[in-house]
Amino acid sequence: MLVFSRKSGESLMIGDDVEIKVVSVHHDQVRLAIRAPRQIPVHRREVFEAIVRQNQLASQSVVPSRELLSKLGSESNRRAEKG
Amino acid sequence: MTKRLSTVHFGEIEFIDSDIIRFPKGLPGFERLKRFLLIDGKGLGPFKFLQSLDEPAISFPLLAPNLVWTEYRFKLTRQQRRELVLGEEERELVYCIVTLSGQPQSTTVNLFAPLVINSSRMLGLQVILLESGYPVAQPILLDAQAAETARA
Repeated sequence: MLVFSRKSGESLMIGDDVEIKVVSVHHDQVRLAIRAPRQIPVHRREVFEAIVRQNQLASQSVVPSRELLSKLGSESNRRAEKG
Repeated sequence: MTKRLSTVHFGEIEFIDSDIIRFPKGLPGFERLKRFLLIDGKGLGPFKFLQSLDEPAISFPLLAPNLVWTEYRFKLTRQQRRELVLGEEERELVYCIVTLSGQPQSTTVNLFAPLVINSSRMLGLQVILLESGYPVAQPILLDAQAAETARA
């Protein structure tokens, strides 16, 4: 992994079209501004990790129990009545 | 030509090549897995399963989100439509991944990262609805308690 030291207002380029700029540094928090083409999704790592974790849990699912199916069935009837 | 796959939940299943849905990027956490079958079985009620062809032990329960969340709506970005080779007029299929444990009350659905499938090209993508505020784990029996009170 490459490690850089940057000051407020300084930038890094990744390739030609991704720029990461340090906006401010305050105690242990850094504000970053990112300019990237639309097709490159930019998000906090925690967001992605939450989806990975949920996918992993889901992959260990059991088949739906009869109890769940009947509960879901009765709820959807009630929804239909309401709707 | 009919092919066979031994699965954990459904025993041996038969399929043909045109049943295969390709997820070119895999799913987050399962990037290696690119080929899936959509299983719509007896006894599953409204659930379907996305069964991995590459890893028979892996499958994901799915629900059509509007069954549990009538207001569920989102718009694909141009880039996502491009990845799915989705034309202007083409409609996509949307499923949400369900986490099914033993307890009905703890069953949840992932509304934040739905699966979008272009069924005419059999291409799929798990999209992340960054600005939506939809939860990753929404209990599907939201009013399970109310339902029981009403029945009693």
